[in-house]
Amino acid sequence: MGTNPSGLKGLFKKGVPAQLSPIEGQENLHRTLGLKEFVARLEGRGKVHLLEMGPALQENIDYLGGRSYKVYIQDFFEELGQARREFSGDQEFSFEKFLDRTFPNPDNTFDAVLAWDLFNYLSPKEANTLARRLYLQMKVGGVLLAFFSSSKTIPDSPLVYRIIDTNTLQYDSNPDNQRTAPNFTNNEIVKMMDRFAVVNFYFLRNGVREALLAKK
Amino acid sequence: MWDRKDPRYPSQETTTEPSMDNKTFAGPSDSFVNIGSSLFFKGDIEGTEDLAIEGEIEGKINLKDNNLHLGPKSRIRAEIYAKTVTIEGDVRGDVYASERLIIKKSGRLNGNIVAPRLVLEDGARFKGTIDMEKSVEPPKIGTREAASKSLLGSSDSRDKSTNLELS
Repeated sequence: MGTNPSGLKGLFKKGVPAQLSPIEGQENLHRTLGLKEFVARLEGRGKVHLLEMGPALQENIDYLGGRSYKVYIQDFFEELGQARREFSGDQEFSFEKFLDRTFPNPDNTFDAVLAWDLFNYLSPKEANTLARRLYLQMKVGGVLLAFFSSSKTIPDSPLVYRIIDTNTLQYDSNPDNQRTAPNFTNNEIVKMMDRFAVVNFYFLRNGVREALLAKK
Repeated sequence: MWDRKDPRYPSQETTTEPSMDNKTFAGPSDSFVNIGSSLFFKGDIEGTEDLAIEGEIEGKINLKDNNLHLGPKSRIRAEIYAKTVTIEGDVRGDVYASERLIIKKSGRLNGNIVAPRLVLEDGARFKGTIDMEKSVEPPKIGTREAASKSLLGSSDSRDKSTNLELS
């Protein structure tokens, strides 16, 4: 794990209640520490090819396109749900085949992946399978940013994160519909992402762990 | 079919786009050539007029320095080149907009985008890549003569690929 940057004092607090109100008085705002390091690590890489695994959002495209990244939009959770709904075969739904269709790009395509909190919504096996696929799709030194909840419950579907600036995200969610959170430990996350090097974990006051990983 | 005054489309003056510059984009105005919802066209469309489409198109659309509006009922399977492209319908294909691409909340695009500016309404669906840095160079599709001959000779466009030139 990398050294925690300065200015984190007070953000680390064990056993904090997991609620999504990270910036007092500013609802639905999330102070991110991982995004700053994520973009810093992409500097000097030439034309950055970035995979955005959430829906297409104006704010994110403005931010990422403004940095001259080529952005690949892949609303993974939406497409997975649709694929599951449309699947009517006798055999079991194949997550692997879904990934084959979803990622037609050649290996070593992406310099960066924004997975947001997607891994919270996959089984440990699916999460590991996706992590391995992303590893193949990424270039050496490429970075992946993922959020993991430490809450007991999480919204029924992934939060939609809008990039306000390098330190601030705004999220949309429906707090009425909740589901049990997988509550991955750091060791479980490291095991899930076994091929990646952990650049840093940021454990935020709101119970969200931001994991910044790099392809070795 | 080629109606320039379709009452379904408000004039440019009455359309409000709060976050946009009305000089460069609004809904299709009276000056737009209109392809109605009953039309299916397979082939290449090239022209120097603004175009609004509600029908079904397969092929290539090249309006170069003009605007293209794809209405809510439009179903497009085409590579698109235009100055400003507005999508309210369903599009599969790459879009090259030299000025701006707008995907309205009812719009769906599955393809790649090359445009210096992209406006996405909440609810718009997009899958593909976005490159805001590349410059847009529209291709040469065909000659005016070839387009005219093709048009004169085609009565059933579902069975034939053809070229259509608007000017």
